[in-house]
Amino acid sequence: MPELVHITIDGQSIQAEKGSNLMEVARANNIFIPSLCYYEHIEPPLGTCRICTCRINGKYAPACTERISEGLVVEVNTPELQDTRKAVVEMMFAEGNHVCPACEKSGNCDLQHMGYELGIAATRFPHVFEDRRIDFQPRRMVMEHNRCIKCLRCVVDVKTETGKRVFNYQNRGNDTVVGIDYEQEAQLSEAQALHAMEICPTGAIIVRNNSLSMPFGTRKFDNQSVQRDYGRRKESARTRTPVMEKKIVATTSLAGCFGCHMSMLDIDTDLLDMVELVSFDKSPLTDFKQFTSRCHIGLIEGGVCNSDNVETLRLFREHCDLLVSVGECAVWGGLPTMRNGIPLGECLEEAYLNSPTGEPGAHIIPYHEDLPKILDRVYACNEIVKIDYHIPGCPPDANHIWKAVKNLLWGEEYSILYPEFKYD
Amino acid sequence: MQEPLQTQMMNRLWDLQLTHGYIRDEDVAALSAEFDLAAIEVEGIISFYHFFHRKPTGKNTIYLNTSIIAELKGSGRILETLERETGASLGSVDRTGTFGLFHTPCIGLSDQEPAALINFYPFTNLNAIKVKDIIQALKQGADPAQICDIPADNIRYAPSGNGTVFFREFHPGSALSRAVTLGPEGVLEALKKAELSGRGGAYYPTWKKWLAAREQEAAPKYVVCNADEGEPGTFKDRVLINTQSNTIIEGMLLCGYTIGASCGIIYLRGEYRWLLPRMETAIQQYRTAGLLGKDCCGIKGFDFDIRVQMGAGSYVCGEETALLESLEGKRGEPRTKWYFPVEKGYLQQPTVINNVETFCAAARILALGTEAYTQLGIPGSPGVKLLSVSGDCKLPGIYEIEWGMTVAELLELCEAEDPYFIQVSGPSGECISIKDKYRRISMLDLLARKDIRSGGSFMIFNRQRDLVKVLLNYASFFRSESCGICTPCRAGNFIIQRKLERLNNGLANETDLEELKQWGIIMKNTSRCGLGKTATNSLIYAMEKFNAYFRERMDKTYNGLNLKFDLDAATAAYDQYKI
Repeated sequence: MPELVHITIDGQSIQAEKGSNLMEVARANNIFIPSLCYYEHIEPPLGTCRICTCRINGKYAPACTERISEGLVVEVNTPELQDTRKAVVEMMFAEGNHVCPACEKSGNCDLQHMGYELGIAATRFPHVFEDRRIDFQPRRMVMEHNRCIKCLRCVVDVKTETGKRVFNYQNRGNDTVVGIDYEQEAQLSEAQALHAMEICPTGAIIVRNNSLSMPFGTRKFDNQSVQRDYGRRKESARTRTPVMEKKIVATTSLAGCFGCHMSMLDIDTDLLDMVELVSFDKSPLTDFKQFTSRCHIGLIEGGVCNSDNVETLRLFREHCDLLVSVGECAVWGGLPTMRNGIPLGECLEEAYLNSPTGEPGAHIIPYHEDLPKILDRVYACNEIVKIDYHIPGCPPDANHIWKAVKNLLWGEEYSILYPEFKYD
Repeated sequence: MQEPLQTQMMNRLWDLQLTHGYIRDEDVAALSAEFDLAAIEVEGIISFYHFFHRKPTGKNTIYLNTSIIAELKGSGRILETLERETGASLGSVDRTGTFGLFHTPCIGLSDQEPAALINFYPFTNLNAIKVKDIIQALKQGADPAQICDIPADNIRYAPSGNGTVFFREFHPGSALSRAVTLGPEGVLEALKKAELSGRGGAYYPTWKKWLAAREQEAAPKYVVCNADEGEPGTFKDRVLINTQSNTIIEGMLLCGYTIGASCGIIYLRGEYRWLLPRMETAIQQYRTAGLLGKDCCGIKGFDFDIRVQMGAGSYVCGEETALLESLEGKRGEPRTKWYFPVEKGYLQQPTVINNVETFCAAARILALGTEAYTQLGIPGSPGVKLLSVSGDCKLPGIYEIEWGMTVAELLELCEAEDPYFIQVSGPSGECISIKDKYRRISMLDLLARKDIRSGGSFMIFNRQRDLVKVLLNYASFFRSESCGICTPCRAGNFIIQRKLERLNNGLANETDLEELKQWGIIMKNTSRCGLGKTATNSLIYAMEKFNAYFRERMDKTYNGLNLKFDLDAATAAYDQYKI
């Protein structure tokens, strides 16, 4: 008979089996503690990702490496701890090159899921944009080092029939990568290889011919939050009695694809409300080239990739009371940052000089005083000017944009539904 | 108990590295077959330690120190001279394969910087002329072992009269014979009375640790001496190993006797490879004298032997559980706190890990008697402490101080030159201002932060030194020395470094300063081991104490809306294509 002891989690008294794992106990009691590296059958627990950090008997410690003992007092959901855990997940986004819309695992990715659950619209940390390689050499797999969060799951859990490791850490510090042994990888059965892809919390391990099989809306993390109160959390900080006076809006697309603008138009019948409530100043929708008045809000799509983008963004900052980054590119650079790890010269030469579709004889990299200058890398908008709010998504859900704008302009209460908060 | 094969991994890699100058592809294949590991695992171990290379490192491999002390003593000029003279550029080997030139963090010679290791032999107090001569000699085929310097011990101060505890004569066996009369319980009692606590910097009571290990039933038990003195600016263990190798062995014997262990291992950092013969000779002398081996010291049934395990260049291996992993021939990644080393340490057996100084102190306490020892120091913090003093002072070196000395007294002793800020306990410690100079150095009051509890080093900086540059040096140190296993330390140190660069370039504003502080705290609260938990200590302290200085470095044009952005720099690459 296992011995039962009493512990307290956030003031709630709980009976649990002595010596069991705090993470399991929390789960069994419907207390959400985010985690990425924790995997039930790996013992001792890995304790690598640190996003389950709680305060245990007053000390900061991860829940996954804590054994239950009598009288344990655990704090999980204090604002400070919530912020700390969020920060660690943000670090992962900032450290890797996580371009959700271009990732096979999107929708089934644990990291992305944690981002949704914790409501991470933008990382507080500057993205480091290290150039990490993609290893296409294994026979059956592709190792996408840009996406790896070094959780150690695959290192510990994936072994060949002879008990040898297939994955192992290489290097150390910020250069740490999970290397794959080509010879051992070839020994894995198809099922074992799929298992490796399965336990990878991100899209770092991809088994060839096994991706992109599920349509949007049917993927693992598309529809339902694991937190019961997800949809009930309301943005109340800015809430005030709505006075629906007419507001002036400006929009622009910098280094973006206009997809976010398209999404803005996707609010269906709400468009009718919108035209009543909003007038557009400088915007691709009106084709106003200049600002004609001060605006209440500026919606920025796209990151900053050339000198003209810098100028436009500064102009928006000057003329708008509030500036909102709309979509992944504006928030942190998004898809165009895929060039950030590559020297600019290489990109230009590939595009203009060595391109197979280049016109013969037109071997020239355009440079003219009338052309905007291309920056050394793509910057997020908040690296150039202060951005007041971020709306994630590629593109953001139409409802998400409209709700956020309504809240910001008129203080209308809103809550973002789980399926509306997406990075892809 | 037979130690598993993999514990030999580090030795094998060292052999290969020293024989060939690098570890060849065929070596990796052979090792993976021999140890029955996947090749990737062997590669993982090799790439963890920066003294192991997978590419040739030249006939003479030069490691130039990058610590902040080296930097301010002019290692930059030394690097230029080295590059010019050897024809090798940093991080590579010259065309003839004669010289390889690499950076390495602090090599424990802060009292005689600039310094470098050539084929792991020390060369100290370098200047351009000396470097020229050395390289010339090496080109003519001289052996670094023959022409290297013998680093001075620089023991500058000991308590007056016959007050020295550490640097008096020591008769092998004297502490242990006293221990035998006291019995294990008596030893613990003596250590408890002397209030000896871990001198690596954690200050955990030594008797508690030993008692916990003693109470474990599992056997065999191990005694591990942590001689991986990696904290930049610290070199007390170097001097202890050089002058007090007997005392170290005796301290370990004492521990072995007390807890009932049969095997002792000294984990010596790779940077101190030149001290290996010294240590091994001492061990051999102990064996010959019958003080090590079977029934050592004539105690029936007490079999105890000691061996030395070389580290290979990794700061984090000074963390006790990382050190254990390294001893087991693996990557030096700290373990989770699922078990304590006294429960399941080396090879999952009960293990006591103590610092070099702790073992020395334990032996001395037994040999001198607790009475004599506790007369030194102050109430609540009896005894003496070794400090490594370096930086802007006339007399860098080892100071054996009585606990309770003030910083001001220490600064006077070492003839500090216009001191402004002082880094205590290395980059992971505390950064104090000259305004704190009347604070005492003791084991007390850590939380109230009235006294200063030092792991062993004082780096003194004068008013001319740029604090942000110092912090940047620390940041890049932690960034490359983080083991990479946990997110906050791996990513955090990198991010902090980037942010400090912004500050250094005058791009930062108030928000950046606030964020630096907050991020430092987040890393402290979430990191897996001491490295990440303490990496931002200096930064946080410095920002508190030198607030005005940081404000001076901020972007003063910031209006709350437009961030400073260097458009010219960002378009420089494109401007190359101007027609």
